[in-house]
Amino acid sequence: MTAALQIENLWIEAGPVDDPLVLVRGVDLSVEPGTVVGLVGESGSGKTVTCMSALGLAGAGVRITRGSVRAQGTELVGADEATMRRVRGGVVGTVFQDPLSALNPLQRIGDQVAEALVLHRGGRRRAHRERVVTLLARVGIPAPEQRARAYPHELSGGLRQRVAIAMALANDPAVLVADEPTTALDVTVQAQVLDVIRAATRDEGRAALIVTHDLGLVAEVADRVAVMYAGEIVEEGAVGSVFAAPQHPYTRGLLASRPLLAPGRRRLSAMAGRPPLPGAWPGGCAFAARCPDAQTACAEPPPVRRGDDGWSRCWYPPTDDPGRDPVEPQERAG
Amino acid sequence: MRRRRLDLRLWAPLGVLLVVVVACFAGPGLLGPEGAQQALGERLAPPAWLSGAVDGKPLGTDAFGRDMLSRTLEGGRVSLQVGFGAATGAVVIGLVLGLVAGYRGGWWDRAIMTVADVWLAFPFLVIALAAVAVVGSDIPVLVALLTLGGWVLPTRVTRTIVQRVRSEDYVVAAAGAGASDLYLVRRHVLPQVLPANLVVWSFTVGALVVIEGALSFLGLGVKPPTPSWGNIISDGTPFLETAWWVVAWPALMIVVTVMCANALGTALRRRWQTGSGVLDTSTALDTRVAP
Amino acid sequence: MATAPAVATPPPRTGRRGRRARRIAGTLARLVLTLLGLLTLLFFLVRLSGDPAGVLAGPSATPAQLDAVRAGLGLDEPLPVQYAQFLGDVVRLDFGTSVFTGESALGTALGALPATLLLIVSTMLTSILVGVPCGVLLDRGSRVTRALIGSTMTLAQAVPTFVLGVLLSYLFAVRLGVLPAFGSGTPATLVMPTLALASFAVARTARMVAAELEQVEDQDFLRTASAKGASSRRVLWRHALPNAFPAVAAALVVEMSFLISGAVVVEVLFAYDGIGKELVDAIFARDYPLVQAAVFVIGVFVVTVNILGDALLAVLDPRTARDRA
Repeated sequence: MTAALQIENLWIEAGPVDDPLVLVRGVDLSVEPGTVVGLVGESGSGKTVTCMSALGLAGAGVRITRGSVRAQGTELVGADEATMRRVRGGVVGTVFQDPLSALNPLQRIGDQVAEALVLHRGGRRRAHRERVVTLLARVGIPAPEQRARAYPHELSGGLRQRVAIAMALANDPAVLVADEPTTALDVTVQAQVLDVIRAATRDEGRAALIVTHDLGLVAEVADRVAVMYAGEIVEEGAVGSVFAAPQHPYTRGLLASRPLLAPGRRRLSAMAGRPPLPGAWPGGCAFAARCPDAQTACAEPPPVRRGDDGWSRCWYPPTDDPGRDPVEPQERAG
Repeated sequence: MRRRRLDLRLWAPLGVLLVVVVACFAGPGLLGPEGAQQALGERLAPPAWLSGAVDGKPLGTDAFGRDMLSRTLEGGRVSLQVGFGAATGAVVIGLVLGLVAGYRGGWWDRAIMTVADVWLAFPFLVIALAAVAVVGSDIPVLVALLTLGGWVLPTRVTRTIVQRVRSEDYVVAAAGAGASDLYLVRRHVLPQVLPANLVVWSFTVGALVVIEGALSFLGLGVKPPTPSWGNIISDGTPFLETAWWVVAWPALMIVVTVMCANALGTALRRRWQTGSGVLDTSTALDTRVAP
Repeated sequence: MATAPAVATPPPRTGRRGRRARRIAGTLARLVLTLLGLLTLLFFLVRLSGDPAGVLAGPSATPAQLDAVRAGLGLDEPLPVQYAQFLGDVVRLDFGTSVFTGESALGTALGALPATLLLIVSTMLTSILVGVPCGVLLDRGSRVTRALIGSTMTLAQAVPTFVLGVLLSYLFAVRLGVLPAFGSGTPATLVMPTLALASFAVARTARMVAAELEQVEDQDFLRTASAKGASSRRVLWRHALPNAFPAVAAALVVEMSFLISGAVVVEVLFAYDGIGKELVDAIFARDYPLVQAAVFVIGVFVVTVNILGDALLAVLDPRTARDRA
């Protein structure tokens, strides 16, 4: 079975060609049909640039140097404009972080949703009016017929993000890519938008890649999770097993800093140190400097260890050393 | 520390402007009075490198046989006096009004800014034309008049900066600690306002040299025989077919002066923008001063 | 003790209609203020000259004529009364008769307006049709294109209208002989005045478009449009440029008072029969009623354009009603 979105050994860099800044190094990620994958990591870890570059939306100066990205079997790395246009919005729908700036301020939202239809199905905007209203209703916009005539600035942040989702879903894409879809929203609205995303993905059997730093969001909507650190994926697996038994110390640290997700934990702990910035990534295991369990071997690139359903990139996963206490790393470090 | 390299984008236009100013004010004196005298036998003689040129008149002669070199330089005196004088006056007025508007705020601010808005809606050249027709066109009058044409931009820029500086935490804190208004203005406001106004001044010089040129081109600037770049061009226009040099030299001088003034302003703005982030008024500065 | 920094209090929340009404009221107030300022200036200008009767009657007037003018103008009255009288005349649109033609000054001035309007419209069209593509190239073009257009624009901004006009007439009328050097009324006579007048506006428009595009460039909605599958050309023309346009249009409207000033020069230079030439001719002829009428007509025109421009902006940018109020 082909994956809905398949990223293989993706390397991304920016800046001058002779002195490039490496942003992503060798990311492998596969989003199977009907699965929702959460891509988590701190800012600067390369999670956003990974999925934006994959669609050619990362902006000028950011380039893919190696690897492959396939959407429904279509290779996107090095693809021509026409292919990219067909894929964008047609095969892969995209939702961005900030719904305020993601909508054209001068166009009515109905027209913006209709544009997505016109671009892939042809015809005039007016011909798609019915579908636009259906779409707006589907993402839970009240009074969609009236709202279709509204301008973005007349809507609340939550409604705007719903419009953005409606736009992304307009052509029933096989994959939905969402970049921090709830981060810019009020906490009270986040849950509602999350429901919309869940309905659009899990409930409709659509594959999705959701980029976020919010583990709570992953727990709620994702089937699988990939954890990114310093331009690499350090752990990947089913949400349930990763959350219950994180294999990588970074994942453990992330989980330990979340109140509701750290299983059985009373005390919260913050990870020591800060993630290294692109360009300052150390050789060997990039997390070694912050890792409470780092040992001499960590100066070398860690091997990929495959579990039953997932893998991690660590010299000393907890299962190798049952005597070690994997859940209170910070206290030892502190 | 790296040695600071000479910034050509700043010093080149400044150097050229200085050369123009020195040449215009010292040149005619050095060349002697003959150049300004009419010599009807040498009418419309071409520049030295063309056949038919007259000795001692390297840039050719005008319709009265006067030397174009000394005439062009002399014409620059009026244009530059009016341009620099009026720009300076405009910036001084703008500084004062902008400080008052930004610092006092409230009613003062509203009054000054309303007048500025209204003033900007006036077609300035039209008013200047009407005014010159009535009150004459001596140099002091022209300076005063063009000062009125340029005060809005420095006022707006000054006010914007003053308002921003005033609301910054360290200034509010200093005021709270009992610093006097005078101290605050001297210590915190002026150091930010003055560089910005130097930038404005540069652009304004260019714009006002053009307005002066336009006025004297229309025959409403200084009265002949006193030359000014604008009226030399206007006098030379009928002879364009046979004697392009009468128009060319003053036109070139205006273009060079305006370009250098603009380039100087741009360079100064760039320098202060990157230097301290003080000059974040680029949109205000891009507003045109005058035609 | 220092006074507290002036903090702009946000306007009270009112409905959309209230905002619009206040905006219109503000614009009207500005209109009235501008015209009043213009008229006051005119009034005092004429009085500044010492003997307004002499000015208004012209230099060749006999003493009897002067007395008649004085009485007619109420110059024996105190200044405020004169001012009120003057305003009263203006309200009745009575600017007297042109000394030169003996016809209504206002009528003469208005008669010359259409030709100027034509010139301004063609200049604005040129500056948009040429300036917008230049601006796009200035932002998107190759390095060479950008340098080429950039330096052309710098030059265009530094060459004064009257110098460019002289150059154009040398080139097209004297050397090539393809365009008439003088006159008005035929399409050919419109070409050179338009070019001379538009060069600055083209450069300015191009620079504004480039600056706005650069600003708009990294905004998410362009990425959204790409993500929907729009081509880069469509993103530029449907999303980036329309968002850059309101600022450009606003600048063009603000430029109107400068454009009119330039039009005066150009009309005189090319003997184009518009209101600018009429004004300068009147100044030389010491035809003060006509000068006053022409300045008044130009002022009303500029202010009207400003108001129409505001309305146009509201159409172009639905946020205007909220943001710019």
